[in-house]
Amino acid sequence: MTIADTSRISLTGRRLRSVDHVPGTAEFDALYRAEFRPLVRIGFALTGSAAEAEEIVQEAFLRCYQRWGQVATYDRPGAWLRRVVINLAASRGRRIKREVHAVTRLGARPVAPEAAPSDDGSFWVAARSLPLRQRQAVVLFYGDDLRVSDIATIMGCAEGTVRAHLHQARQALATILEEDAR
Amino acid sequence: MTSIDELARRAGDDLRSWDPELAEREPSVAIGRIRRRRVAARFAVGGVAAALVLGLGIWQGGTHEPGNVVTRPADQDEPGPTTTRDERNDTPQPSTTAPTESSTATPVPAVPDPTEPTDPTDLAETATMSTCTGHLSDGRTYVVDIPEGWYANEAFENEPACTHFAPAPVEFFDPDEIFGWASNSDVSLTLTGEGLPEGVTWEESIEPHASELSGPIEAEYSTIAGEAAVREDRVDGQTGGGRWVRWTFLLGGDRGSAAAGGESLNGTPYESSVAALDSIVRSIRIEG
Repeated sequence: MTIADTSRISLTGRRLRSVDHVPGTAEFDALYRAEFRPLVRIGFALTGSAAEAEEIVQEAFLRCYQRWGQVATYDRPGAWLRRVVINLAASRGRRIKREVHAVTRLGARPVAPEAAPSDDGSFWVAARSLPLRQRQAVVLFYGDDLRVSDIATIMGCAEGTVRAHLHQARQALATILEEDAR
Repeated sequence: MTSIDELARRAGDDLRSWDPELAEREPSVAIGRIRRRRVAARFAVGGVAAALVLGLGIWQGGTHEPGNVVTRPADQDEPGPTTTRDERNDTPQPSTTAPTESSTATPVPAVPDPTEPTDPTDLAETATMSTCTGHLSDGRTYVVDIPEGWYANEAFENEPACTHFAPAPVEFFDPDEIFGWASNSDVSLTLTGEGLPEGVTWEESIEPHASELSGPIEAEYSTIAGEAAVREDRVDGQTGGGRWVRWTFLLGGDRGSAAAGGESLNGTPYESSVAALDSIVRSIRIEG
């Protein structure tokens, strides 16, 4: 339903195969091997935790596997996976906040969110303080080295919107990193 | 001096050269493991959730005035603007709670019984009970009449206020893997924040066209907020012929669209969703 249906066209691109054709597991395995690590890097840049990133990517691949008959017909299943990962990463941040809040209200000791297992450098720490959409754009552009048009497809917005997010993010990052350097 | 762009590209190079220490597994083995763990986690989460609900119920029981029903988006960490209704009064009262900075949507009071769908013709005729306000990219605002018994969303993450409508409080939950945040809305309104592509007239831009995924059955031309608009009745080829209706219009300098389809998490009949959609779109006006 809804207008979101129209975004399906841009995300899935041209269908290369007949909908009736359900590809075998060899293609899924190839996708898994090619994309698992790049996706973990994206998840890590977004969450700051390698363990969380791996969880998120595993979840994304599980969803991919469950819908493989459909996802395999897309000409860019990697774009589909990236969209799942950035959405799951956003959801995870909100879920942690909610869980901490709920536990606090019940008077129990809140569980601290897992810390990043290693220092990933000040840039990605600063990037994680950006608003959600700016953060996603920065991670996909600089971290995953994607073109703006691909990022627009993954984020479900116009290319101009991605450029605006990147522009605002660069300004904000300059300020944050300058303050950190003092 | 290093520019922020150079710094970012260097950080990106570092990230891409990082080899995360992952346990090497065959994909099929990994999928099986993830599945088993997810099932186990669901049981565990279910138990924790039940405990939390019980605990919160006890905790909230002592803090609420009796007789008031409080609703808010399910995913908000803090209580946002609320709709209160005195259960002792049979007639639903409009919201009297002041909106916060982040929200200009005004929920309509009563939650209808989804098992008793509203007559769509009634919806269209009585859609003047409450309004919500959204923002255009030129700084002006638009106002929409919310159909009776329906709700509009408050601003949430990157979802602006007054863009999702449902015959139940609009909630956003874990993001859908394809379309971003999932919600229970039956009618969605999107403003692109962009004008027309260069060299294209508005009439050309709203000309319905069939694609391999979705073909129009019929198109009606009219005006919304004084500008040309088109209402398309479409069949979605990708989901096996599901029906949906989409409006395309120009609002201020923004291209906009609004749509309703047959798949409803609220159990809303397709005809009711379409009637609400038509009512909402026809009520749009620009202010300021």
